[in-house]
Amino acid sequence: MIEFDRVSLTLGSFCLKDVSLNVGKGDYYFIIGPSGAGKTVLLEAIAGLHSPGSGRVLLRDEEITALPPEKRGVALVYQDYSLFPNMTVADNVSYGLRVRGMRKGEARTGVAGLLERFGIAHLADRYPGTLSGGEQQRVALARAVAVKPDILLLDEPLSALDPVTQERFIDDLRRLHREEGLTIVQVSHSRREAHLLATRVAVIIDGTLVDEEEAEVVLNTPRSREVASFVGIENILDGIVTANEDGHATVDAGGRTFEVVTEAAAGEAVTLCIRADDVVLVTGDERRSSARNTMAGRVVSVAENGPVAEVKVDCGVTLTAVLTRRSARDLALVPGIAVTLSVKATAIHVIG
Amino acid sequence: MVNENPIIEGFIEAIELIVTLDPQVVEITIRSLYVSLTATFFAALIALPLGALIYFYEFRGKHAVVSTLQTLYALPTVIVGLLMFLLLSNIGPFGFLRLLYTPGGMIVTQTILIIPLLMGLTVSALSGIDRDKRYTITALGASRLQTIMTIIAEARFAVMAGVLLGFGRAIAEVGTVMIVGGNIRGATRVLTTAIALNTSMANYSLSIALGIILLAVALGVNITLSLVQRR
Repeated sequence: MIEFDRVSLTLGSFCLKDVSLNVGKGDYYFIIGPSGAGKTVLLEAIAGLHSPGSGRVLLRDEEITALPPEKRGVALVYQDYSLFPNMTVADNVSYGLRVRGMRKGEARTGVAGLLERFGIAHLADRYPGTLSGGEQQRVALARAVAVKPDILLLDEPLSALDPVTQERFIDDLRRLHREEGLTIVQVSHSRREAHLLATRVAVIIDGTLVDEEEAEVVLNTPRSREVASFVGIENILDGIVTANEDGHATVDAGGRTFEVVTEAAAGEAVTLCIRADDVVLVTGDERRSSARNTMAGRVVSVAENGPVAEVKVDCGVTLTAVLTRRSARDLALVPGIAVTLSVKATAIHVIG
Repeated sequence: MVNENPIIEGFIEAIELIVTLDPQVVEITIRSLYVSLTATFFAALIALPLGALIYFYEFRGKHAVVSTLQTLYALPTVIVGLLMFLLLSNIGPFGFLRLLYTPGGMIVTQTILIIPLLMGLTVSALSGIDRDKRYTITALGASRLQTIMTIIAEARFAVMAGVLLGFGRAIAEVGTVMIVGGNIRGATRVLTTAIALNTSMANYSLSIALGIILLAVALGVNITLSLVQRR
């Protein structure tokens, strides 16, 4: 759908460096990265609001590098919604149709169905200042969808909403993506949103695109250590391969030996990524697990967070496990208690 | 018992002058409103497009221009008065217009006095529409002209507030109208100059009456301003 071919651009003291990406038709494309990494600039560059210093932008294989925003068939929603305070909800939503030459009455009729769909029909004659955050967000989204964009661009659309409204809005977005077959590009610093919505993910750090893949791949088997740490893989260990037999290798990491599946040869430095929910805990010293990596350790801390509990275990190296709060309580996990920890060899992602 | 205090007497007489619509009070008030409203109208006509131009176009020294405008907010009115006097006097380059000591001259002078204020406030009002909103408008398909029109429409209440402030400065100032208008009775005398003169002549009742009217006008402007800003 839209493709960046080695795009670089400088904006004041900030620059995007050599970014190549490919947003496919129907993708729910996430651009994630830490604050100040250049996510919003990248989104604005897709919209055509900044022109690249070098590189090409292609839309359906046609070069559009110099095409102005109003001709790109995009719509942009910022995190502060950017509604027009002196227009009613209906006038806000129909704005895009009016600038395309539709008469006011006609445009208002044109968006009636949309207002209904977004559950804001009863607010049609209200002004944005009198609406709640969630309502404003739906108005902003309806306004963007009204122009029937080829690509909908969302800049951290959930960050200003309370948790309950966020959940509802995630459902709205998922439905919008599925039912309309819309191509959506969303900027976010939340890994959780990416897990829930993304089909494809790009990770941007310091103006550079460090990874771009199917969401599953980026989030679970990242390509580099910095991406692993950004996508929230809880256990990241540096080690050296000590032996490798047909892809079944042993890795020495922090004085502990792990059995993993990798092509890396003996002597190579590798990084091991282990998701906390792949770490299994049992109390005491029972080594009856069929997992290939089993080790004894002691609980260092237990932190309950809603329905889950995050347990840190010292077994030579410190590893984090996540289990349901219920099972953490059933196992009577408290700091100091002896536990046995196991991880399947296939659950360890190795970055070579 | 007759009250001998001239101030209290002045107040009582002042109320009488207002209530009975004293011809002199009415005439001065109407002239004051006429001069300052006309000046505000012309100043707005010039300053709003110029302010918009400064805001929407990027050029070298833009920041310096805005800073200069803001400095000119506090321009002493007597300096403007002096400058305009020299320009409009018989020996000045615009003497042929014969505007000195006429309401026309006062209008021109007040217009020039408040143009920087209106321009500066227009720039501020438009800056109130943030970058994200500009980008949103453009990304929704608006052309450059449509983007500019939408931003101006969205900032209209802030712009109006600026115009009201300009009118407030015009009607309340005394320096330029005294120098350029000459405070001629029945011709160029306005509220502020009449108060100055009558106070120095110990004609307190007229001064107080005109003062009350001037305050009422200022109050009216402020009430309108807060109504506008509440939007």
